[in-house]
Amino acid sequence: MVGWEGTIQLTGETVDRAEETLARSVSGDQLAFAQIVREQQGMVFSLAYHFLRDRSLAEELAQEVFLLLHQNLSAMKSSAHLTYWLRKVTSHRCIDQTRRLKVRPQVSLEDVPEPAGVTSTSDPLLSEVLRRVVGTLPEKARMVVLLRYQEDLEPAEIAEVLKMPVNTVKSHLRRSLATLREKLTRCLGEVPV
Amino acid sequence: MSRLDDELRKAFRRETPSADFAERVLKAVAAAPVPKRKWWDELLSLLATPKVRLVAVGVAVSLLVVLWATQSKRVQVPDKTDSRAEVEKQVSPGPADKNPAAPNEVANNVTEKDQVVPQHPRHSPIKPRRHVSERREVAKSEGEIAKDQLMLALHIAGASLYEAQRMVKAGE
Repeated sequence: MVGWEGTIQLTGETVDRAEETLARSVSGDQLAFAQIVREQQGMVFSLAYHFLRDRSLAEELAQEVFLLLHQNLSAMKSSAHLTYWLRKVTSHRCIDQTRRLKVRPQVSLEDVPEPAGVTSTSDPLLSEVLRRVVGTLPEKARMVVLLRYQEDLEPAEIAEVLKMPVNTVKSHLRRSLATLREKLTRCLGEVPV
Repeated sequence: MSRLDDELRKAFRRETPSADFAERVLKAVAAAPVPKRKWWDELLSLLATPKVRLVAVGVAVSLLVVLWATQSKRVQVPDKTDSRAEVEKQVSPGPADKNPAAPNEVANNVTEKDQVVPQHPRHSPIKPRRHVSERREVAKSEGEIAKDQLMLALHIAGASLYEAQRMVKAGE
């Protein structure tokens, strides 16, 4: 199933608790809303931060998204719908923000620091290089990569969030990975295949 | 799954915002003007509760039933009056041609109850379209009314004839 109905699979107890929190929040309980914010802030902030590569801009955008959520709480049908809605709104806001501000981190390969030795099991330097290179991708392709690797969404789910055909998502992913491989080869001399 | 995928997952792990982020969001929410809710939003939020929705559906259905019953009653009453008036108009003899001898007596024998003023077609209610079974029932009831009317007309005619005969005999 595609869409918010099929995006989250949680245990019955967790779902019940999340639904209860949502119901309390809809009825005006500010503590319940605070709980929702704490549960979802990681996802919303990370999407914005990885996309914009600016901490203060990302926090500002995340705050706007939660404000919007508060105004539209009554439209949330379930906790899964709420997560889907947050992902969708954050993604679109990030893309709009970048287009408006023309924030497109143009990182030249010369700016990427030369790694001392490649590569351990979890290389912070490689991660930084990857983040920078992904930051150079066009807006939609960048968001597709983020939703795929940060949120672990399937192409069909990404297509639903970004309102684009599944094949477009797949081709964005394919092209982005090819670009990453090429840039990493030029930068690091070898690619973690 | 390739190693690049793994590295991308590690690179794009979720991060936490500053510690006071949630607090700032709540402050912003409290400071933000409350959007005015439209009346249909209020209504929809009321209907969101399943029990209220059931009650609303029940009330709507009973209202429809009452409305339908009232309407069907209103439609049936003028039908009978109309057919009765038509039958009487056809059966009752005219004062000049059938009984020229005693027009006043004949008129006196007909009670006020039996006299139905035929309605002008312009004022008659609009007859709605009916189903076949409903039309048959109406036709049946109209037939019975017509039969009653005919019997009454014959009775009146008989009484008039008797009266006329009596007057003729008295004159002789």
